[in-house]
Amino acid sequence: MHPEQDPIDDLFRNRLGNQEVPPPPGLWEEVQAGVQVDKVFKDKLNPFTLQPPTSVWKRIYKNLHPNLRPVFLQPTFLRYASAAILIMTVGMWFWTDNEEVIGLKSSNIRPLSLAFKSVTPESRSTAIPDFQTNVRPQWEESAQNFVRQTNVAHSSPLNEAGIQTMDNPIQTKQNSLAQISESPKETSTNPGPETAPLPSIRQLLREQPISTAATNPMAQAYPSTPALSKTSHPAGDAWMLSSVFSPDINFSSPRNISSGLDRQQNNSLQYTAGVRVGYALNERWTIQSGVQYADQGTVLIPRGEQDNYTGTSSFSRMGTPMEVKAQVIDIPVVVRYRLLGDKWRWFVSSGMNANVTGGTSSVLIGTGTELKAGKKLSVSIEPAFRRSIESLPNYKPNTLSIFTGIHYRLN
Amino acid sequence: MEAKDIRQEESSLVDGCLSGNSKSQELLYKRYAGMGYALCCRYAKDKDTAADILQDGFIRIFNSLDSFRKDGSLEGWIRRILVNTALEYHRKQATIQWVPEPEDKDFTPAPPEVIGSLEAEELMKLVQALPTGYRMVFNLYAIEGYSHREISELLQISEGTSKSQLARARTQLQQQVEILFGEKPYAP
Repeated sequence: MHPEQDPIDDLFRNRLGNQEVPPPPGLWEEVQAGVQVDKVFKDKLNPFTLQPPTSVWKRIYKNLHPNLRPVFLQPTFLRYASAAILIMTVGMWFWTDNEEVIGLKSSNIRPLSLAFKSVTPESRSTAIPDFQTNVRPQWEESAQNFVRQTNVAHSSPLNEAGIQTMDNPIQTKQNSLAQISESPKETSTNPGPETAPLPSIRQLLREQPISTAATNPMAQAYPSTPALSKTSHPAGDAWMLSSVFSPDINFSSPRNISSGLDRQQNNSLQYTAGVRVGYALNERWTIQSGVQYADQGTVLIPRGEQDNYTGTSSFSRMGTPMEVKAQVIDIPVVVRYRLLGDKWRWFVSSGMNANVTGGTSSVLIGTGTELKAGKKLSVSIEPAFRRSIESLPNYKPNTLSIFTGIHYRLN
Repeated sequence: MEAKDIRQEESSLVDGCLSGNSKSQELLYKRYAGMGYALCCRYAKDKDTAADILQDGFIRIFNSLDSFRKDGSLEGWIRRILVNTALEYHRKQATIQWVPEPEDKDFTPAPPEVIGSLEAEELMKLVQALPTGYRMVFNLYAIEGYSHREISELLQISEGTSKSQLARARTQLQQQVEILFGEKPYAP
């Protein structure tokens, strides 16, 4: 006998090995039910699909391509955007040249800087003969024509200047815009005494260029280098943070001329200040954008049109016309092209100012110079002309700005 | 489309992904994202967790696509990776409890045909409501078709634990359906 074999094993094997015990009642049903439950879930859930949130693919994509930038930051896109801004700027520059503003052809617009030279409160009437003898009568006649025509529906009393002294309803205000814009046709046939055609802005600019080497002290002090050196200039793909400040001089409309006088009396300064972020696409092209605040001084407008001036405008109800403080916020988008220089860089710039507070948007053309003041720091000065591409009633500021900037390279 | 054409299309898609073509990657993702997200939702407690698992799973899919043998089913391969990612997620989070929950003997299990009357979304919610251990085993066995031996290896548990977890999962599902229909009795 094998030592591990025991007779008791045989006993149990013979008795229990082939014995059948019926399962408890319902067990088969349970097994069947379990299988059926599985089948139901499998049949319904296996083909079932659920669309995941879109953020999942974005995260996967970012993980798979960690060095890929968003589309709007890719150099190709930025190059196309720069070209588009440049083309739009040039297009709008010429397009707006044919517009008429407040009953005056743009060729009759005179820069305020000319008035500034000789105007004092005492000599106000003689210092700006054009305004007293030409512009103001035209403006008042336009306003009177408008009031006469709208007075049928709104018999508001007029003051001495012919301006309605009560606030006009909105509908009347809309009519007034249409009427005033038509008025130059009438006034042009009956010009005021001693009228002489005023030079256009462009003509004046041609005669007195803003930033040629002859007039620009920076250009005289730092003559440009003939060849572009590639030694220390950022070779593209560089981010800059800039703060800019510019004293501004407004041109163009008679209200601005008036406001200039007021401003001169109040000794207030027109200026623009803001911050910009710039991206150097390559050695020559840079695109900048940001936000800037502009104080455009005081504007005189007739009553009834005050609602057209929003934002931080404040109103004074004393006298006619009313005074409006024009303080606006712009979003500039500027493309800069480097012409010459290394430590001293010379550039031209162009772009747009999109106004977000109810003022006027404008296109911008400028030229300037930038000096490297350290490894990451540079300063610049940039005379630029900003031309409005839309006009509020009786207010279309065109501005000469002298942008000064401090730039910090971020990478 | 015939199976051969599907294989060819999948093959070119895989080749595009392997060459780093982002369009091919997006196409592959979009083709299997719906299936994958539903799968992840079954293994996860909520949709946010499911999205995380799906993301990790697809990153793993794209990174190991060169190990895919084109003679097999791409969908099956993707499913396996997503299942493994879900199981790994729960292992890392240590959310699986293998201790069986106390059983309620006083309930009448809902018949399978009643369960069959429920919509897929409702069944999904029932599965998500299961305790994690029950949910893992039920998904693997009942829906994915793994055997208890395979489950025991995947989850590092005994086959007996796998079987008991499955039985408890079924019971709880039927119980939940019974509760669901408690207020609105089903027709026998």
